[in-house]
Amino acid sequence: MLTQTTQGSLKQPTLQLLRGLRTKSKNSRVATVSAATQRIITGLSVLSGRKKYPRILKLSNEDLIRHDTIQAAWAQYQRDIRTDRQSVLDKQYDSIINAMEDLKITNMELFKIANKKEKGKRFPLDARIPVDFPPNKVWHYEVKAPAEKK
Amino acid sequence: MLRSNIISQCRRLLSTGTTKTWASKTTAPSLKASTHYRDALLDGIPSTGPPSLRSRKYKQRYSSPEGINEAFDVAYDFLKSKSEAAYAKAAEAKDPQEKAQLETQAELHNPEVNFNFAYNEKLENDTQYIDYELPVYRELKKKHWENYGQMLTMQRLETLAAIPDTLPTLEPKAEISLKFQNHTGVNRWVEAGKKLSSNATTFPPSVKIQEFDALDLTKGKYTILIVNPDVPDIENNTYKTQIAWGLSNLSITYNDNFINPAKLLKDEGKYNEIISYLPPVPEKNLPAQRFVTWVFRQGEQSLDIQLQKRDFDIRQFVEDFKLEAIGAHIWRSEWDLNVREVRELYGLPQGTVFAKVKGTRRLR
Amino acid sequence: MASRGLLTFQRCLSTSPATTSATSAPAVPLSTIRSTLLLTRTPVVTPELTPFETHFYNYQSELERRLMWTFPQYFYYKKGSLSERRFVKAQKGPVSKQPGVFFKKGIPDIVHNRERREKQEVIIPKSEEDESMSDFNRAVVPNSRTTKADEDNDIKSLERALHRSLYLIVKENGSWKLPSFAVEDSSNLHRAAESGLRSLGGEQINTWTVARSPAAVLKYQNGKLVAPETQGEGLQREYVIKSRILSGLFAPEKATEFAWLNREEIEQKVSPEYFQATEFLFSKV
Repeated sequence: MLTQTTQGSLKQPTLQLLRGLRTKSKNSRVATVSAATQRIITGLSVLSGRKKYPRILKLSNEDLIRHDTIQAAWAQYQRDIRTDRQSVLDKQYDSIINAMEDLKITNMELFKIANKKEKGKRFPLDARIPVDFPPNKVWHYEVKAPAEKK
Repeated sequence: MLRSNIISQCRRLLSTGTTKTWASKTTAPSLKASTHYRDALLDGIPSTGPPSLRSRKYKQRYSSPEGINEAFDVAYDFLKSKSEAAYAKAAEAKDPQEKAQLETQAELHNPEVNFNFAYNEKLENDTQYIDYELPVYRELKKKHWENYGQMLTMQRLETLAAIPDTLPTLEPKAEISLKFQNHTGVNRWVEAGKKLSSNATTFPPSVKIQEFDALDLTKGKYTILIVNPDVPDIENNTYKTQIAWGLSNLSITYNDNFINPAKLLKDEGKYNEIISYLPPVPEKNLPAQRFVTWVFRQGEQSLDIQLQKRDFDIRQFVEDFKLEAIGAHIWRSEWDLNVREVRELYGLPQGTVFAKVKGTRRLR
Repeated sequence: MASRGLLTFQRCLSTSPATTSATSAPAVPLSTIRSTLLLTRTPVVTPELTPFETHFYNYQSELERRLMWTFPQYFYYKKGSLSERRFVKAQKGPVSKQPGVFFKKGIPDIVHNRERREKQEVIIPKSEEDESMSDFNRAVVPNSRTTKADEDNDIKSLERALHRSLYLIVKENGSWKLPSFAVEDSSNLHRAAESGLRSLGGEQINTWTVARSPAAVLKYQNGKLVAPETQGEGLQREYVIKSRILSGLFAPEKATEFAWLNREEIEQKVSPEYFQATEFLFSKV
């Protein structure tokens, strides 16, 4: 880059080459913004879908029917699971009612204890929920505290 | 699983026809998709592209979503097993309603049936593609009609006050479509509430009555009445109802249900014309006249009445003959330059020219 | 539904203090009542997917990927940085439009380095693994869902069939059934079952009683199972208490035969009448 410098007031100005000096873009339409503003613009453009949308998915007639068939089968499959589960729950519920009614006739003392509300009962802390892959230690065989129940 | 995928892929590439067959018990042609589409529908889109696309360019460009073939194969097998169970139940069912319901259930998710129904003309009753004798197509058509046609017709009947000006109410049970097949060359289904030119309505309309319920159609008969509740009654300074056309003792089937001149000629002597057709000849400067087509189930009784006078009380008539309204249609007619010719053709007297009223006093 | 509502209503009524105080004397001797324990090892891993589920989930995820927005790499990788260069290098870039080239599938439509008609595969660049890597940044290798107990088909192990619920059954008098215990020395169904379990299988077990109320009643007349609604003299009753094993193991000192089995295996072992009476208690998962 050529820059004019004055080394003395009496001397003629000379041209000196400077490298790496940042210059303004020749394209005046591109506005230069500060780094902070640029960060905001980038952040906003992440939220905008304008340049990120894929093309619309167009299915042919055959594929549309195939897709609908899959969805119908899935809905039916889920419905079957739901009705199965509900029928088992119904059976279990009826069974509890029957057992309790029977216990009431058989032994009132046992019935009273069985029917007592367990206030504040929670799932135990060491109960685990199913996960996709088993832990390194699959089962804990040692029991720390003696299984003392109140 | 991988191996079975490879096998199915190979089959897809090599096969000359699909190996999939639904659990259908009848061999009705409409239960199969046409051979042009069938393989692509059941085995996946071939490398040459979907047959439903016309252009070679777009055929080549098309690609199915990934995983659809494998998912479809298992879904098809699952639904087929359900269908087999439903057919087994239907074979034991005694009640025809229950049997029809089970057969519908067995075929409702058959992709070939759905394909045939989705991409073929639903009003033409071409049994090659859509056969309304099969309960599944009636169910699909009923759903299709309820989603749009039924709502549109009811809305038009109510906003144009055909209900309650002609009959108090209507619980629609059958789809009524109307068409004027004549010299005008306009051969379109009339949208309910449309204003038609007197030229188009010169000759009687053709009416299609599509029943959906599982009925014994060999016994039941049908009546069609077209009434015009907007005939000026100058003596009483009001309007009166006249009957434009009446047919009774019509018998239909699920597929052969289009009451057009051809069918009437074929059934000559079997049906009864209550009164001959009088085309709309509206008076000049009067608002549009409504022509309401009512369709009734008349049961097994025969209705052999013939009227001489046009003046008509439709409520009394329906009550007298125990008719059950199942559907209706409406069109409107306004005076136009052709009315004179229609009057001449039917030998009717000159019409009255009423004084022009501007503004909002006449809403219709 | 209505009958169920009514039953619940009756139950509420009957447990009110006015009615409970009316009777006190036991109608049936305690010796005819036993407490049966339904001890469950709940699944450790999620259920196996059926072929339909596998293919359906695959199809749905493919659709989702196809319809996904383009990954904004410029947000995650600073322009000109080393990590950006590594990321870009790892990507399989789409085929871009070339002059004079025929594209069978149509002219490429590329925005932000993504073919808009296809799903975008974002590949995370992986640093090479070596021995020195700590536990923190090594690659995650999931454990196998099948264990050694599965291979050996060790029905006494709690590590078998991790995706299923397992139930403890024992062999009593030559037939397999749920373990049952007398309630003579206690007046408490659930505690009788729990202490009975410990007296049989040792103290090294941690269980959690689901409820104090019995889940079912099994009735025997002359050693034969009868319908649970049967009433009358000479009935032996077994009340089933639900419980879960959380840790520890069932290790009987005596030579008691026992097994941890899932629903289908129980059906094979126990008598058909016994399974029919209890099948709704065993989960299909």
